[in-house]
Parts: sequence; structure tokens; C-alpha cells
Amino acid sequence: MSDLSVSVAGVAFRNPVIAASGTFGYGTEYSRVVDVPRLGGICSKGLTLEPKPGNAGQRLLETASGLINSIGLENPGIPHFIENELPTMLALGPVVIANLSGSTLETYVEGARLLDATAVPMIELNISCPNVKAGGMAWGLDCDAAATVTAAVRRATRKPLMVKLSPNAPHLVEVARAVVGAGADALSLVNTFQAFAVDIERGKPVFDNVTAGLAGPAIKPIALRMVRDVALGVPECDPDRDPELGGTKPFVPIVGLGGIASWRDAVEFVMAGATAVQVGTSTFANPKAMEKIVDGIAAFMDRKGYRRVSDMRAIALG
Amino acid sequence: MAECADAYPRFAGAVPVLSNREIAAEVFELAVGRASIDGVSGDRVDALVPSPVPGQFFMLRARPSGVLLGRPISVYAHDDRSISFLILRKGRGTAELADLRPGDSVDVVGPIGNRFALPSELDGIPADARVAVVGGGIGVAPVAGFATTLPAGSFDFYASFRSRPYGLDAVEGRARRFVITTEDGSTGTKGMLPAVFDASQYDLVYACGPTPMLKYVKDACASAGCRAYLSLERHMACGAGACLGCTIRTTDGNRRCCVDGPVFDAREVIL
Repeated sequence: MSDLSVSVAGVAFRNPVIAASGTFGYGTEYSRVVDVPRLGGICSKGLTLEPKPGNAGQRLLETASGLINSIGLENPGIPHFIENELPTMLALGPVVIANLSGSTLETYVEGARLLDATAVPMIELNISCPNVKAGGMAWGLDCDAAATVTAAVRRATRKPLMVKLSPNAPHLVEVARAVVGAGADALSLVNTFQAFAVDIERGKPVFDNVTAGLAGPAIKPIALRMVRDVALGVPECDPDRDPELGGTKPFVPIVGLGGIASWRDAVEFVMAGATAVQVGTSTFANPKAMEKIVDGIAAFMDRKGYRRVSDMRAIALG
Repeated sequence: MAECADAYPRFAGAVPVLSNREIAAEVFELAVGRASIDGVSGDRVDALVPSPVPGQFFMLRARPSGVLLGRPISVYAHDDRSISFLILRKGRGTAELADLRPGDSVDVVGPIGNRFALPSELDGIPADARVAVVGGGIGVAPVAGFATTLPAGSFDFYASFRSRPYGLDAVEGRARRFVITTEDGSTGTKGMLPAVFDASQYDLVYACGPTPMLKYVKDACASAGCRAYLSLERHMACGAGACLGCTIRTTDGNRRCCVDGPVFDAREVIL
């Protein structure tokens, strides 16, 4: 039997399949149709220090093999999350990852401080939300801004810190290097692609916020290429550095995401350099998608004789 | 608050198509079996779709499908072995559902959402309350299903269509007054709901239909001091309360149409 367990920045996951932020609520919403304890991890909905009502107007549009969303980080605020949602999430079984967003540097830092005082095992720093006017993706587009917010949050928390990167950055590998240099323990990539849609009857943008974020199978090949770019272009992401394989230099694992719909997609991300994967939009299409992906990875590893996920990690990078 | 039933979905899987027939232009009555099947082999598996209550909906997607997400479709009727829906062929997802034939299968997630509370379950509604049930276009499906659970003769039923009416078979003989409007005048009164509806005649109104009609019902009922419960519709992705894509603005902040609704007290919603 293959061993699906993986370690990301020192945090043990029973398997490499993690529910992506914003697609699995706070872990309980799907509990009647998903066997939640079978998941490796769950990222919370994007959290900000203050409650946010999210964006007005239409928030969703299905496109060819994709879904554009303009939710706008609707969330009850980090204090409410800590008091109300987090205890239930922690009892579910999978590793809980708090997805931290902010508008200003100060709100990122204060949010990180509050989360640092909880039992949450990991923080995912969101510098890549394309759907908010202040902050969000603006922090993830250039190296200086990304390094600044990563370093500030790094100082505010001792929790393992995973930084979620934006595919909209003109120089993604450079941003990845910058956040690694500023103290990221892991990288997750990619968030949604900035997109646009027109309501041709009204002759106006579909979304009140004008642009919005494209996710789903349509983005998978591009997301996969970006994971490869970062795996090859950031020295700390070299899987040979993995301490579990005897590496001694600092190692920053990649968690890959972007349109993963099947176990085959997940294996592709691993073979392109990811230690674990996140699944988002595909859960909307099929609530049992993540369970099927876990089963499919296990069956594939058995068939191929891979004893651990790391046996197939990055093998397609040559 | 509208009554909260088991709001979260309770079943996700494939079921067989029993029948599908066009009952009006671009409108199809789709009946599916409640015994789940393996979507690939067609074999029955040991799972039964739970019984929906009036007002709830399912996410439906044809198998196979070229679209990503299920489409939220209200329950029209159900019995021990089947659930039926009215499908308005509008985009790619509903076109696939309209094309389903007996022997095909469909992915369903549900039942989802709250339900229409019966008049007897609502505080401040007298036993002899004057009740109206209002449906507009494809929105007739959930209110027609609900009306069949009310005592015969205890309610008036209003249905407004662009042209030929549909979905009214089970209701027509049960309503105290049965009023139809069509925009082209082909059946009933020519015009739209305001041509025939007087909110001051009622204590309680249940409605589902296009947003402009629901806004009219909300405003008319507010002016007349009449309670109203509205079944709302939004673009949806998860149908589980997780994605926050179907937000309804209310006087008490955001609510999720899928699991906090789809039925809302008209006094609370901001349309």
C-alpha cells in the first residue's frame, strides 16, 4: 500500500489533497455529502481583520470549462472566525489552514497576530485576491510589495507560513523568490486569473467590480506551467532539498492549484514539482471530487510502485 | 424568518431520467428516479435521494455534460419514486437538461435550501388568513408544488406568463380563485400580475418569479400590510453555502440564497 502522507513546512497531512480557500467555506457546509475527514487539509475562506460584506452585483459567471468569480472576500472577520468557525474546523480532522488577507499592511499584521494566538496549524498568506479594491492582489504583483507583506506577517507569527501567489504577476518567479527571501515556509500557486466579461444586452461589464477571477479546468495547463517555472526557478523549491529526503539546505515546498479536476491533474502537479495540491472549483462541479482524487492518486501510486508521494514529485522536470 | 428545513444538501450522485417532455415552448417537465445509479454503468447503487419539501431545489447537470456546474432547479413535484422539475431552456446547461431522454442519467445534488412555511406555522397569521400563491413564468414550479400541500380552497392562485401557461395541472382544481395573466392575452387577462392582483385582499402571499415581479409583490404587500414570502434565484456554484456566490442582501446583512433561502421573508430582502 502506498503512503499518501506528506509534510508541508513541517505540518503533516494525511494526504496531499487540500480544499482551496473560498471553495469549502469553513469545512462544515459540505459535510453531508463529502466525507470531510478523508481530506488532507482545508483552507478557510479568505479572512480579513474586519468583517467584509463582499462585492455587490452578480458574483459568478460560468465560462468554457471555467468559472469567473467576484466574491470580494466576504467574511465575518478574523475575531469572529477565531471564536466561532475555527473550533469546529479544528475538530473536523483535516489540517486547517487559515487564509489571511488584508487591505493594509497593518491589517495583515494584526490578523496574523490574532491567528498566531490560536491552535490553527498553518497560515496561508493571500496576496493574490483579484476581487478587492484595496490590498489583495496588489501585494502579489511585484517583488517589493510581496516581500514587504511577507516579512511583516513573518514577524507577527511563528506559525508555518504559506504564501499564495498570483498568476497575474508579470514576473511570477521573481515574486516567488522575493517571498521566500522574506520568510515564506511554503508557496501555494496559483490564485485566479484576472478576467473580464461583458453583458452584451446591457453593453456593460457583467461584474460590478469590472474585472474578476477566472478559475476551473480552463486555467489548469497554465497553472501547471507556473508551478514548473517556480519549481525550476526558485532554488529553495528544489525537491532535492526536502529534509525528508536527507536535504540539509532550506526547503520551501510548493502546493499546486489551478483547475485540478481529477487525480490525473493532481499527479501532473506533483510531477511538475508540487508536494501537495489544492482543489477548488471542481468541488462545485462534483462535491466528491476531492475524495475521488485521493482514491485515484492511491491507486496510481500502487500501480506504479510509488511508495511515497515524493517518489513521483518533480520527476517530469528532467 | 422563513422556516429552515434541512438546508444543506444531503445527496450527491447520479439518478436515472424517467421522462422528459416539452409542456410549453422551451419548457420541459423532467422526471428523475429517486434510486441512485452508478453514473457510468447505469447499475443501481444503494442510495435514495431524500424526500424534498416544497421550496427546496437541486443542482442538476446532464450526464455527460459540456458544462462545469449543476444548475439550481426547484422541485415541481415528487412522490416515493420520482422527483420532477420544470426546465426553461435558456443556456447551455438547461439545453442539456432539456435534451435528456429516458434511460439517460443526471447528476443531482440536494435537496437544498429551506422551505415555504405553512400558514399555520407562522406567528401572527390567523387560522382564517386570506392566502395568495403567486407564480411568474418558470417560477410557477416551486409555488405550484407548494400549493398542492395547502388545503383545497384555502388559497387563491395567480400565475403570470408571457404566453401559453404551463405547470398548473395540480393546482387548478384546488385554488379558491384561479387567475391567469398572459402578456400576449392568449389566455386569461392580458397583461402582467399588477393587472389582477390586489395585495390588500390578503394576509399572506407566497411568490416565485422574475425579480421585477417579486419586487412588485414585496412593495405591494408592504403597502397593504400583508406578509409575503419570496423564493429567490441567483447564479450559484456550490449549492452548499460554501462559495458565497449567491448572496442575497437583507436588512440583517448578507444571506446565502442556496442554504439560507431560497425562501425569504419579503420584509427582510433588499431587491
